[in-house]
Amino acid sequence: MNWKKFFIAFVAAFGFIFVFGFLWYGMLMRGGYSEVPALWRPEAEHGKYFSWLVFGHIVMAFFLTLLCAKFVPAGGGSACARLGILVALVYIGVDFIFYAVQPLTMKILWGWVIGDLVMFGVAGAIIGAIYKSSSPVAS
Amino acid sequence: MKRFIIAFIAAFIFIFLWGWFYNGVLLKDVFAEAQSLFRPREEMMGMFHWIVIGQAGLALSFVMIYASGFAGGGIASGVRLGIMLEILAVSARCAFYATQPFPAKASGAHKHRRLYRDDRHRRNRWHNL
Repeated sequence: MNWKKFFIAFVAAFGFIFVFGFLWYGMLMRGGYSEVPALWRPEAEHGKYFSWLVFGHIVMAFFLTLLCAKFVPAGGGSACARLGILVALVYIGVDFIFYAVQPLTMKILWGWVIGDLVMFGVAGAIIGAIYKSSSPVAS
Repeated sequence: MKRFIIAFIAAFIFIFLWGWFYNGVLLKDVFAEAQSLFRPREEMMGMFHWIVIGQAGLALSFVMIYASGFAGGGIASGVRLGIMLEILAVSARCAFYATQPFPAKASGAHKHRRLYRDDRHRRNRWHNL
């Protein structure tokens, strides 16, 4: 594995996921979340739990990069974007389950579904584009 | 295609049974601590098809990822893929834990407690609310 390219791809993926997450889930979907305020931590507590948010995004970006780097033999933006979309579908399955057990609104559910597809698809494309010249594929 | 369908059905059945046993039985008391975050039981039963669709989608996408680049590696490769996807899922749970007042036990975030030594203090404060 080309660790230098891996690291650059990971940092780029983290940057994108974090900024996209802030804009999509934190800003655009804010109105949807405010319809069910009882489900969320109060804004005053957000700062205290921010480290969990950052840690979650780091892990997400790291393992998406690892998945792309190890298991997309051809490399490249489109192949990794496809893998990213498949990973998003795993998350979307989980979103549906959350919708069944928590009093979320349809607006939130579909916001999560679209957000996951865009976020993982684009993050995969970014990783694939950076990690393009592909190192040997792990078996 | 035949193997794909068989793998999908087997994965779906396992995910369904494991989901029921782990989340529905083992973690039942933990989730009860955050009852206000969940739909009432009757309402949840009315939404049961969403759980089935979600788990079927999860199993389908898992098998699709496996078939698209992991199939040569056999069982070990499938286990590695499963572990990676689970770690990805844990990252999402960290985000949920950051934004929703779940007890750490319910989010799976307790696995990282050593990294966050003040976590117990936070949970105690949550219980005291």
